[in-house]
Formats: sequence, structure tokens, C-alpha cells
Amino acid sequence: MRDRVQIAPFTGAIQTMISFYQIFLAGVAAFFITASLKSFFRTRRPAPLLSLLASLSIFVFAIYPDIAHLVSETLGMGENLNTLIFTGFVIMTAALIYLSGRIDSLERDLTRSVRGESIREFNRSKDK
Amino acid sequence: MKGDVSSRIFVVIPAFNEARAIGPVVRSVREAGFSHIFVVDDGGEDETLHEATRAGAYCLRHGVNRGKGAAVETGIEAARISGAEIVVTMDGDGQHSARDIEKLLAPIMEGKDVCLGVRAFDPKVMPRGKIAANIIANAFIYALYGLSVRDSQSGFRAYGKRALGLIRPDCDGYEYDSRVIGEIERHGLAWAEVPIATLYTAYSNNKKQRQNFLTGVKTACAIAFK
Repeated sequence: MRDRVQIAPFTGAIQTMISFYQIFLAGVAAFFITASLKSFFRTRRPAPLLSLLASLSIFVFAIYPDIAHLVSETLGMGENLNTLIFTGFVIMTAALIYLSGRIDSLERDLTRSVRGESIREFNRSKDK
Repeated sequence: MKGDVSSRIFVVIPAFNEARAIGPVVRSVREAGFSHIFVVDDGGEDETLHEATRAGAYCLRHGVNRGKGAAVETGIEAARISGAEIVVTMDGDGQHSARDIEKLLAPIMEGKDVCLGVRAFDPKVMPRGKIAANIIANAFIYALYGLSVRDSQSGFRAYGKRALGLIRPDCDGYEYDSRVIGEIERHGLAWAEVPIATLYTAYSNNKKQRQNFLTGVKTACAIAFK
């Protein structure tokens, strides 16, 4: 941990040292925060706000990783926050698998529809 | 080739933005003695359809790009509807020689269900990167399907009536050629391999829609996980 650089935190109440990994993660999160905000103001749809919330969470946890323990203690979960995060990960993986299956199904339907249309057009041109 | 047999042989050529090459390809197939040529324009934005029609092919068009596999299946479906008993598939970019169609058909006439064209993996003819990629692909296909083929990625193939009725790769992209190998194994089809010429032209080597490392990885994932 000697490579961590001590910085003055915003509040001064929490002493923290930030590693390069945290800066990188915060940078990536900042990029997605910007993209989500741009998308929201362009489309005025709520979907980018979810992405914004997720990116903000990652940004906060990246800069203040101790906050995870603070939240866990406040909620009365102790070390069980790890279990919650792991469960969340499993749920997200299951959701990804489900969505991937749905996308495949839609792609097949699209191909069938496109093929049907092209063959109908071909038959029409043969009959002329 | 006897007249009554050749009337049942259809050549299917999938094409995506191949306006520069498709005309000469179709004309060369006609000169080789095959007049039932289906070109499937896979949602391209150039004059592929126009050039193919001008050269004497029957043309079908996908309203949106669906992939090489989807285009081949569309062409095969149209050929089946039109009474095909043998279908030859080949690429639309001029890499395959129409003179090899007879070679592909010979095993089919002798009773084989599928005949696979095998390119020469010769560094003088094929780029070294492509040779390596094909060797890896062949090993991957063997691991997946247990069939040892010399060229799992060649799109120059001939299918007999039984194969046309059974093979259903049910995929849209470049993984189609590999999935066909799986279908051969699944249905216990009789297959053969014949050497074919491969013509690497400046056009085929530099076209924007050619396969590269990323599409190779994507194809491998599609074969393994879908």
C-alpha cells in the first residue's frame, strides 16, 4: 500500500489514501456519468438515469471504499454486505443470460422475417 | 455435365457490397455451364443486385444485413422452392473458381451428401495469418464436433438432396460454415473433400467487409456458446 498517495478528502473527516486503481475506476465512472447525462438531456428518457445512478455509485465507492463498510454498519448488516453484493452479482449474471437469450431469439425472428420477405419478392418477380 | 442433371443444380452466391466482383463471378459460373444462379444481396448498399442481374443471375435481397449464413440459407431455400436437388455455394468476391464446381459435384454424383472444398494452405497463395487462423479453426471444429476436416471455413461446397433436407445450421453469421460441419456429424451425412483453387486478389484482400481477427473471435464465440 506504500504506493498510495494521501490526498485531502472533501470533508476532511475521513482520511483516505487513493491508489491508481481507484483513480482509474473513478475515471471510467466519470466517463459514464457524463455519457448518461448527455443521453438524458438529449432524449429526456428516464433510462439513462439508471445508468447515471450506477455510475455515481461506482464513482463514490471508488473514491471512498470505506463507505461500503459505513453503509453496511448503518444498515446493520456488518460483513453481510459482501453477501448482498455477491447476490446482486448473481442476479445480474442471470439477467444478462436471459437478455442474451431474448436477443438471440429476436435476431432469429428478424432473419426469418427478412428471408420470408425476400423470397416473396423473388416469387413475385418470377411470376411477372 | 448431362442436361437433365444440370437443370437440377443451383449455384447460390451470398454477397454483401460486392458490386465490383459479382458480375465476373456470375459470368464465370455461366461459362462453366451452370445457368441456375441465385445471388443473395445481404442488405448491401451498392449495385450488387443490379450487376448480378445484368450478368444473368436470379437475385434475392435482404432488406437488412443479416450475415453470410443467413444469405446462404435464403439462397438455398429459394433453390429448394425452385426444384433444386443439388446446391453449390460459393463466395461472391471472386476467391473461388467456377471451374472447380465440377470437382465439387463429382462426389455428389457418386452418392455423397456433402462435398467440401479445401483450399491450399500454401504461404505462396494464402496469407500466413489466414493459414494460422484456419488451422486453429480446424482444431476447434474437431474438438467441438469430432470431425477432422481439412478446411472448415471454406464456403465453396456442394450439397446433395438429402443434405439439403436435413442440414439446418440455424445461424446467421460466419459461423455458418462451421455449423454445417456440426450438422454433417449430427445427421451422419456422407461427405468428401476436394482441393479447390483460391484466388486472393487485391480486391478480396482489401475489401472493407473481409474477415479479421475480431470477426474470428466473434465467430468462435458464436459457435461455442450459441
